[in-house]
Formats: sequence, C-alpha cells, structure tokens
Amino acid sequence: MPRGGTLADRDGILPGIAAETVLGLDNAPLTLPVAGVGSRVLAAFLDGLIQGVLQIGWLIACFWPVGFLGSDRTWRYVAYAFGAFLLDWVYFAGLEIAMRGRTPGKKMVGLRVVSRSGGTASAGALAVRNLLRPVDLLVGVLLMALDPLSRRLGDRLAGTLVVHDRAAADEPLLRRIPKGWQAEDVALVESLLRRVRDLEGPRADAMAYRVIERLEREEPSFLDGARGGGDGPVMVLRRAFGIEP
Amino acid sequence: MDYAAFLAIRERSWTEFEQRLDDAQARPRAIGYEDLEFLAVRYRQILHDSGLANARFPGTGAARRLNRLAVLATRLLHQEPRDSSASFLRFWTDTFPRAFRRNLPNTLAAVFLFLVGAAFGFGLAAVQPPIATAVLGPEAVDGLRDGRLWTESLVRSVPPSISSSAIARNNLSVALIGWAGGAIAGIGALYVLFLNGFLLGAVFGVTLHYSLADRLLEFVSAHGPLEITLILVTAAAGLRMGRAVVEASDLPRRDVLKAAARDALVILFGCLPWFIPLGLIEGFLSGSAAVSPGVKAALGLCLLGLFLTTSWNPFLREETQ
Repeated sequence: MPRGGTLADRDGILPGIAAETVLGLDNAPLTLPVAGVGSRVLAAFLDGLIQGVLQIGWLIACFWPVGFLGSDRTWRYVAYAFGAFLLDWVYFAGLEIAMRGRTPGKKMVGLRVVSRSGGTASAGALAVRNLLRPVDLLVGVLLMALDPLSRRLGDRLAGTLVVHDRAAADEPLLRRIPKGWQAEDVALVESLLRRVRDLEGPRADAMAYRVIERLEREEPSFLDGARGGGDGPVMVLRRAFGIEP
Repeated sequence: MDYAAFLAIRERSWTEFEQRLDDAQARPRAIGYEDLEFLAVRYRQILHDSGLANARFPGTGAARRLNRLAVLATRLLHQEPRDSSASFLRFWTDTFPRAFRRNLPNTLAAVFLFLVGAAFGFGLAAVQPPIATAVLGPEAVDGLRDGRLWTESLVRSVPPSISSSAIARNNLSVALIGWAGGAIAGIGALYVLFLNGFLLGAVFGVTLHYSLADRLLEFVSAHGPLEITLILVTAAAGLRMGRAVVEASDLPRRDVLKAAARDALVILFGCLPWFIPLGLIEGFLSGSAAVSPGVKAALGLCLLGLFLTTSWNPFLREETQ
C-alpha cells in the first residue's frame, strides 16, 4: 500500500484510491459511503423543521392558559427561555449522542455520523461538531463542497464523517462463471441483475438477451438446464449463473 | 482462486456473520461475550476477504457486499474510547485544570486583546462623548443626564427571575458564539473579545463623563469580574481551535485539530455552569439597594477566586509521560 508524505496521505486519504476510502482498523481500507452536500442539507432542513415545531410546541405549552406551569407568568417566561435555549443548542448534539450518530432528520434521509475510521463517534466528538454548527451556517456548505469527504468545519475539528447508513443489501452473486470471464464481466452481469427491478421490463429483457447471445456464442453449454418453459431472459440468466436453483 | 470458488468457500461465513451482526444491531445491550468474540474474530476475516475481493474481483457483488459488511461491523465494533473526563470529580480536579493550563497562552492573548478594546472604547468615549448615544441608546443617555443609570430601570421594570434567566441565556449565547467563532481561524473569538472590551470601556468612559462610574462599578462588582473572565476563557478556548486550523505543526492536521477541539470543549464545559449562578446574582443582587457595595465587591472577588482556583487547581500533579 503506498505510504508517502503527501498531504492527502497525512489526512488519511489514500493517494490513487477513491476519496471516500479511509484507513480503518489494522489499516484496512474501507470505502465509506460518504454523504454529499445535498443529502446533508436536506437532513439539516428536516431537523430545522422539527426543531421549529418543537419550539412552537414549547411556546404554546409554556403560555397556554391552563398550562402545567400554573398561572404565574414570570415562571412561565423563565421555563420558556431555558427550554428554547436548550432546543437551540442541545437538539442536535443531544439527539446525535442518544441516537448514536443520528438525528430524526438524518434518520429520514438515511445518514449517520461516524468517526474518521468508520467507527461509532464519541460523545465529545458529537458535541464538538454540533456546538460548531453556528459557524458552519456561514462556511459549512462551502467547505463541504470543496472537501472530498464532504466535511464541514465541525467535522474536521471533531474527526467525524457523515455517511449513508445502508444495510448490507442482498447482492446477486454469480456462483457459476463461464470460462475466460474476468472480474469486469462478472461485475457487469451482477450489476444488470441488481438493477433489473428498477428497469422497464422490455429494456431489462433486451439487456439480458444480449448477455445470453454472448454466452451462446462463447460457451453454449453454459446455458444447459437454465432455459425453462416460458421463463423470461432474466430468469434464464439467474439460473445459468447459479443464483436460482 | 476464481470468483465462483471464492464464493463457494466463503459465502456461508459472510451470511452467518451478517445474521449475527443484524442481531447485535437490533439488540446492542443483549450482546454477550460469546457474540462479541464471534464477531471480533469473524470481523478480521471479513476485512481480509474484503481486501482480497477488492484486489482480485473489483466492482463485483462480493466486493460490494463485503465492503458494506466491513463498514457496518466497523461502526458496531469500533467505538472511540470513552473520555476519562466522564467522571464528574475527575473532570473538575484534573481534566478541566489541565486543559485550562494548556490554553494559558491563548487566555493571556485574549486578556490582552480585551484590554486593548477596553482602552480604545474608554479613550474614544472620553474624547468623543456623543459615542455614548451609539453605544447605550438615547434613552439611557437621557437617564445619565438626569443622574440615573440605565440598569436601575431594568431592575425595576422586570422581575428578577425573568431578568436572571434572560441574562444567563444571553451570557451563555455570547460565550458559545465566541467559542464557536474561534474555530474560523480565530476570527469570531477575536471579534467577541474586542467588541466586549470596547463596549465595557466605552460604557465606563461615558458613565465617568456623567460622574456615575462609581455606581456602575457597584452594579457590576458582584457579577462582572467572573462574567468577563468566563467570556475571556471561553473565547480563548475558541482561539485554540482557530490556531489549530491555521498553524503549521509537525503532527498530522487531524490529530492537532482533534486535540484542540477536545481541550476547547473541556474548557467550555468547565465554564458554562458558572453562568447560571452569575445570572441569578445579576438579576437578584447586583441592582439591589439592600446589599451594601462592600458585600457585592467581596462576593464578586470570591466568585472569581473560586473559579480561578478550580481552573488552575494548585494541587494538580505534574503529568507523567
């Protein structure tokens, strides 16, 4: 693995490898699905809406004529002032700590804050990145746009990253491979079979036929037993490559 | 090894790992020793398989699946170490004083800048009395002409509980903004320091012009010394982050930034609680005629002494390497 003295290397990004690849435990390269500016701004917008609703709710709760704070307007004001202050400054940090790197907005968009090595960020790091939110309202978007890891100032100081929180989804894996096929051929067919549900039926069938034509040309016996009565070309491919029995 | 053979040998292991990982994620508190041992051992294997798949079969479903598994497992199994400052007593007797001491150069720089601002404001108010209108507003200046401080009307027109909470909230916001603003290469902290120094100097210059400085001094004597100190210390903690952003160092930038942010956060958390009693003192006591000026001044000095003793901790032992 190349290790040099370049700035990129010192920052934990491997030269020559995708920017979102970071060194994890034991220096194992991990390709983190780093979230871009768009999804992060959307999550922040949703959190802002929730925060606004909570602020309004707290205001109503404190000054409702028959509220839980009794009739003394003085203490209602005091309770409102402290509650509003906490909602301003603690909403993001408190929820990210409690929800292990997520806020309701991040959860809706499917994002999570992790440490620089992909692990769970510490409470201190989450507090730092959120207490710096006011200055990131000025410079954050610009810094995220310029940074290959989309970090705002708070992320840089806290040593955190925001990533897409995806489950390890089912990948169609080819368990039978024709002779002479390389990794890129395998990746191409797996990609087609993964995306087939998102494609229009005729288009998916047309692409599957092209793969079948290639197989018939290169290794006709590979398709033996894969063609069933009335099955479409996608199912033929799934059988031929051992995904379906 | 070809791709099909790789899958035939290893896929069952990945599926098993994935199931145990899902269970652990669904019920993190129910993870037992056996689960943890299984996950830790298999995690290394997953990292190894992921490296192999990326090198031999890049872009394939196996490489993608293994990378996602590795990312999920890393998040679950690798947690940043818990801060030693988590203990309440240790924080106040060790962590906070050490961070405070490490940041002393920035604190002294903050004090210097504040004093420059104060001297500038005081001098400007002395030679240009109309500056008072810009700083205090026309109503307050009219009051000064009649021999009344603007603080008296604040105390009389608003119940102390309300003014206390508003004051505490305002001071906390100023401290937090000064702290956070320091991260932009120190600019925000420098602004807060100079502006607060300038305003304080100008206000004293104006009240001196109307021969009311002694009454202002009495008003601020109980809360002022600690309030200004806290704003200086939190802004200096912000400066620490700002310096880490721009200053060259032999250490990797991310390590420097993280250390600076950690110290800055510790100092901030060491200062914030003090604003609550300060707000109460300012709302209930500073404007009260029932408390003598001497008691107010003594209280102010005691509070400042208590904060400085806590921050410095003279009984702190030398850090061992």
